Amino acid sequence: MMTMSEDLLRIEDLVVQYETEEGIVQAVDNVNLTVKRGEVMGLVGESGCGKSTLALSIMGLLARPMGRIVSGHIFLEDVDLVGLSQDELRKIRGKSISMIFQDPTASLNPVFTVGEQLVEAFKAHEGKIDAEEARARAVEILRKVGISDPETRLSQYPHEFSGGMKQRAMIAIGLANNPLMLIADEPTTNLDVTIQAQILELMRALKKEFDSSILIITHNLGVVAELADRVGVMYAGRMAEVGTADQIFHDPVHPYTKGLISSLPGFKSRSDRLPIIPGRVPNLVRPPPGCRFHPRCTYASDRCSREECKGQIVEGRFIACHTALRMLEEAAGDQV
Amino acid sequence: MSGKTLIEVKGLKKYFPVEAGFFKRKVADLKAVDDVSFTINKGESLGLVGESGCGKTTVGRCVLRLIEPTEGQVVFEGDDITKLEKKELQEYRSRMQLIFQDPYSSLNPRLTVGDIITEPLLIHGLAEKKEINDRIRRLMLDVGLSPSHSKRYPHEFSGGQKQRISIARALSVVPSFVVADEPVAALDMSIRAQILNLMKDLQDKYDLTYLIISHDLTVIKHMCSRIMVMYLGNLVEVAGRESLFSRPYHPYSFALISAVPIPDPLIKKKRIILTGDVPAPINPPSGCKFHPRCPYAKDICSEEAPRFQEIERGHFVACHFASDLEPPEGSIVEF
Amino acid sequence: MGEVTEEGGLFAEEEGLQMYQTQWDRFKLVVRRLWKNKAAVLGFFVVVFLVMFCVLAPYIAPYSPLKLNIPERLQPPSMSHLLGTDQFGRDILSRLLYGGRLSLGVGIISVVLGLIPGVLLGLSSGFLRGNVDAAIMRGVDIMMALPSILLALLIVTVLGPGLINTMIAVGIGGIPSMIRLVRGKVLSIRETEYIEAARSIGANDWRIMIRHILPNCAAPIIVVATLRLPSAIIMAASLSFIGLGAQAPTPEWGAMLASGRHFLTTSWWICTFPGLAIFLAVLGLNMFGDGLRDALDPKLKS
Repeated sequence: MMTMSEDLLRIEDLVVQYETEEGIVQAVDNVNLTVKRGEVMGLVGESGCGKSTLALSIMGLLARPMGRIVSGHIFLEDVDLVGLSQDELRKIRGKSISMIFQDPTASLNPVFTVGEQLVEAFKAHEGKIDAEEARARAVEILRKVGISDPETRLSQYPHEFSGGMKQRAMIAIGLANNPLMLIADEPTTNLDVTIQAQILELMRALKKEFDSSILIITHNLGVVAELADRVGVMYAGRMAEVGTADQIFHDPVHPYTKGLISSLPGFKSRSDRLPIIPGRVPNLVRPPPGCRFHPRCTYASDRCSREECKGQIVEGRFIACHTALRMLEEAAGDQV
Repeated sequence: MSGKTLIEVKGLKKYFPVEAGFFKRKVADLKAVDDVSFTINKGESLGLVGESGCGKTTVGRCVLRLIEPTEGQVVFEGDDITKLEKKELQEYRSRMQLIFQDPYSSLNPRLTVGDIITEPLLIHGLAEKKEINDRIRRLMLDVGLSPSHSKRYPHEFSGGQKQRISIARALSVVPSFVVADEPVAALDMSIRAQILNLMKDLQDKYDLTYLIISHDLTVIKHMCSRIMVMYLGNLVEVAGRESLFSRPYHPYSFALISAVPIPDPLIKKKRIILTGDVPAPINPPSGCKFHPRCPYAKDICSEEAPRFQEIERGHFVACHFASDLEPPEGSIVEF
Repeated sequence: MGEVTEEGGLFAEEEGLQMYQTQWDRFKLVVRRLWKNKAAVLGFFVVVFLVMFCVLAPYIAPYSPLKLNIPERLQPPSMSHLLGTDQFGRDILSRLLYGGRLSLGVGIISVVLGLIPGVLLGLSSGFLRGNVDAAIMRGVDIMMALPSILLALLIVTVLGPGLINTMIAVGIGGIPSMIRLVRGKVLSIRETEYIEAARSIGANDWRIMIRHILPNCAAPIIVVATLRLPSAIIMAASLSFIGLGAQAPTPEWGAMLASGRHFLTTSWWICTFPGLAIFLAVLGLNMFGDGLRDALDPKLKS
């Protein structure tokens, strides 16, 4: 009998705003997302789509007072993270959910050794810990993330690590307390492609070894295709489409997703001129009315400029597009 | 396509002295570019690909003489421009231009777009004052910008538009040769396609020759007909696009091509993972610089640097065992 | 909406509107930020009022600032002499108003005098580097080794007392710090890509310095100049106080302080009002200058 639900993380109708000098930005606008236990969920989108804001909201790390969660819920195993105090959030951060960031150089403290930072991760959640035991655990986890000669590396400083190794160290710190979920925000974007390959292999291996779910946030569709079981596509603060990796890459339904995938350069059957999505990402202080993608959408109807599509789940996929939903309905109707 | 040689680079070297100690004595050389030779044909798009520290950006700058080569020769349209004085070089500046990587920092925030685009014209005396407005108009239309925005400042534009401004600036003097250094790396995915298409259109319209520098193989593959792979200051392989991707010869090329993540979850490849990190060009390894990370390295590789040889027509590689090696099964997926 | 070009670049008035800042908007943004800073606003108005009164001195001063009136000497503030009279019977208010023109004017002119050589030398030093830089920086080091008041003293001693020489002395005193500031900014700017771009299109050194680098230094220069004003005013007043600046009977505030100091305990008004005026001017300028620096700093979010 399953006492634990399959869903580890449930984001419901989340709204997050930023106050900027130019006005209020709806960085995350009524987003729904679930991440199951043990799965890798990819979150893709371009700059300004809100994916990083979403991640920071989950961790309770929004820059206050400019950013705040206006409404909605983030359920981690039935506990709503929204509305928890900073103290309570701190207990969860690093223990139940960890996050690793794009630039490991900025996230690792240059004045502490890597070993010290690892042990601090242990201590933050376990209080007193035996020094010997801490050291052994630290060595073990460095080994698991593929850092050779971990005993020596423990007493080295971040600047003595290369870019790829720093990222591994970050992953080690993230996994130190065997979290339920690891959020990785652009984990390989700053890395050279051969090092990125190493890290992707590592993450694939770790996926098997640790039970954690992974929420990987990136704009690199190739990375997502490699790692993710399911993928969510965000645009201008809203969720456009969610489906399995296979569905998203082979049968995308939302016009934005379709446009994105077909505009990637260098892949098979790309002709001399790439198909493009005209225009550009909207200004989130004054977003277009109705569907935020409609000014750039070749399928846009009149309704799209007036009414935002809240989205429906059709055959296990979430789709937020009037036209796409209508076409699916018609197709289903035809089959009857 | 005339196949005429536009640029010849011979034996290019760029060493940066590394100083240490109180008296700032030179202790070593950072060999950013260590004997690189190639030609660029008129009308072609030549790609230069490699990871950080390989020297590709330095090569681009040296060809334009924005950085002075330590050794070597750059011959542009038949003229040796390597040792020219500033004044004489000035004339060539209008024939070769550079598009920068970062649209956010390559435009002077205090100048209007119109000023930025036409400054090269004014410097080289290529347009009369009264023609300027017309030129602004035409250039902006060429790159897909509205001429009504010519009095605005760079920060008012998006990243993609800024890159268009950058391109317009380079094109204002109608150069024959353009170096594009990571032209789309800083841009969003949906904008990359727009800019790459624009570059191709402009190449047709203005009969441009491109040297495209990038770490992104997908961009290089899309844009370039011929590709040079660079590692730690040296060219390791040069080939036509089809030739390189269907049959690479250098182990580093295997790894590089294999490393590209493919946006197709059903394609599983047995990726080649190189051990170790991308090394820095100070104190490079002896012999073949790639040997410490090469799965096929033998003794000779650490003793002797391999020569560049033509292994197939138009396909060159620098590896002692080039003719014996093949990419491992399943590691290279056609993408 | 707008045209879509073949490349798909969507451009339209809407697009322009979506980018929300023209140069005018930027200016408004700075003003808005300043407005939020109450201290800066207060400082601004204090200074504006002072300047206004001094500019209007010929029209609103009740008496001539120089006219002696011995019978009415040492009168405390009254209806006929709002701020009292000094030991020569001269109306303090009138002297204050006319004196302000000198004190404030000397401050402004000295800052401007120091600005131009400071900026040019800073530009050259930072951009050209090498021997030029080394020479200029040694000069700056030497000048900065002396306390600025001492430096001003030296110059005035050499040139002789008087208001004009005071302006020169105070102006020169501000040059080293301006050079350092500009040089620092130039050093960071010269490594940017748009400077490299300028070189790649063939711009020569001079063009790069004046057209590309200088406009990007404008903000810190303005801030430093504004913040230098109060010190310039105090220095000019100090020089006058010790008798090297404005000479009697010029109603400069510092000179007024000097002439009134014997009467501090008996006729407090002679010193107090000029002192208060200096204090207000300096405080106002400092508050405004601080606010201006914060408002112009692009990194600071409200």
